[in-house]
Amino acid sequence: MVFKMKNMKKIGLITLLICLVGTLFGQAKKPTLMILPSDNWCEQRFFMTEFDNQGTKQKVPNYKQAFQEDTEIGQVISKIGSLMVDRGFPLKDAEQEIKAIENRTAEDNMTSSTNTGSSITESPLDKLRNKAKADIVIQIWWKVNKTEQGKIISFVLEAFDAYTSKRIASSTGNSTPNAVDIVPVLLQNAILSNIDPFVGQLQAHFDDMFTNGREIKLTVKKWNSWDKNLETEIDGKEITDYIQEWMQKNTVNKRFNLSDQTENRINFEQVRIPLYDANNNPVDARQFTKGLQKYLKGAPFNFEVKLMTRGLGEAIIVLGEK
Amino acid sequence: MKPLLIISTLFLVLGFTRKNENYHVECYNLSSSDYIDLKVWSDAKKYNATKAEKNAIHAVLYSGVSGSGNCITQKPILASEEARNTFKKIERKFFSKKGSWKLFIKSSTFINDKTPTNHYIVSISKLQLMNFLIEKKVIKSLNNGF
Repeated sequence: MVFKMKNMKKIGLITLLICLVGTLFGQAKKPTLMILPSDNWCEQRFFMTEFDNQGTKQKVPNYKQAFQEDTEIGQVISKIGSLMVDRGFPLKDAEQEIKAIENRTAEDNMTSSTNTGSSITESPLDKLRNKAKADIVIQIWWKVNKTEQGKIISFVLEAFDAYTSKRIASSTGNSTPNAVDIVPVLLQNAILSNIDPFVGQLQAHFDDMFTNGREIKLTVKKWNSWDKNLETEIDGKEITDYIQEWMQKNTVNKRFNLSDQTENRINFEQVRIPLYDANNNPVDARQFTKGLQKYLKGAPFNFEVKLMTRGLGEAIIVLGEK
Repeated sequence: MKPLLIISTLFLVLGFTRKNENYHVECYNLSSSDYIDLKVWSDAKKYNATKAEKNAIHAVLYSGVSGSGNCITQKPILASEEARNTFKKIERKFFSKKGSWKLFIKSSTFINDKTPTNHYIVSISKLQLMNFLIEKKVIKSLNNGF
């Protein structure tokens, strides 16, 4: 009887362990969300920086200035952030992220090796990418219009997938004229009114992702120094065709669009990748494209392949060199 | 003959008590992140606070709420067929006399606006109701699967 009880306990413990392992490894990679004011909002309030891009004047939002100087943006972001926490999805704070990047850069500049005095390596591409980013960017825009009946708030809340550039959720509305409440109260009402329809659309996007796979972008390029191009034939077939065959085998229901193809570049869009691999590990654009990299490194190709990523959703491979 | 008579009487009574009473719901106020105030009314003669409260929850769950004033139209919590089917399994218990539906009613106020229909303002804790449904696995939380 004692032996049986011991066995039962063991079985129970093993079952619990299996469940725990399943829970730990069965989680898809969580996208990060960040709220930023829209470009139009920044332009209206003069939070823009102008720079010369090889002879063309270009304007970009100055988020740091907006967070430091605007009195409403902090309240709006904080309110949306707290509502998202209530719904189990905390957001990345853009203002804190900008500060953290500045601190990290300062620390990196001051760090040197104790043995040789060497500094930390940073390529121009690393410098360019060292900015606040998230997988899903929530953009907010509002405007207070004054009418004879009172103030009207027009409010837009939109979410964009940062890598596919797709709008995945949007909620917009105008309040009725209000001559009593102050602007922060009107803004709060606008947020409360818009948040649930907005979260509903985000949920639909995540549901679609779990059903049809994560959508990514994949670009195949070649180094200028490479002696081949994507139309070069290997065993009677072009490299492009091999890559396409690999994509058909490895995407969810063969879903991808070959949106652009030349001898130097192939652009795949709306590529649906599985959320988990054969070992139930979460897959992102990098993990998925590593498979293609391995395929092209092997026989009969034996190519040198460089793999780069932008967040969870975009991968670029360059053939010919590392 | 007697059992047949009893059964047919029972069906007749049930038929009358289960008849659909039309009700109307619109968003009245959304000034707090936890609660949504709904204006509920019906053409039924005996329309009381309890019926208004149940109807308000029913609308939030199934049909959504039309917008007015500062509220924009709110979609139903049970937006998918799957969620509605799962909820059907616990619906009877949920809306029973001692059911959980009461937990999500903050208050209900009768408005005497001298119209033939009875109007109520029912305040519902939508967030708590959503968390309850997540706990019962009727709907998914936003971070489910991550």
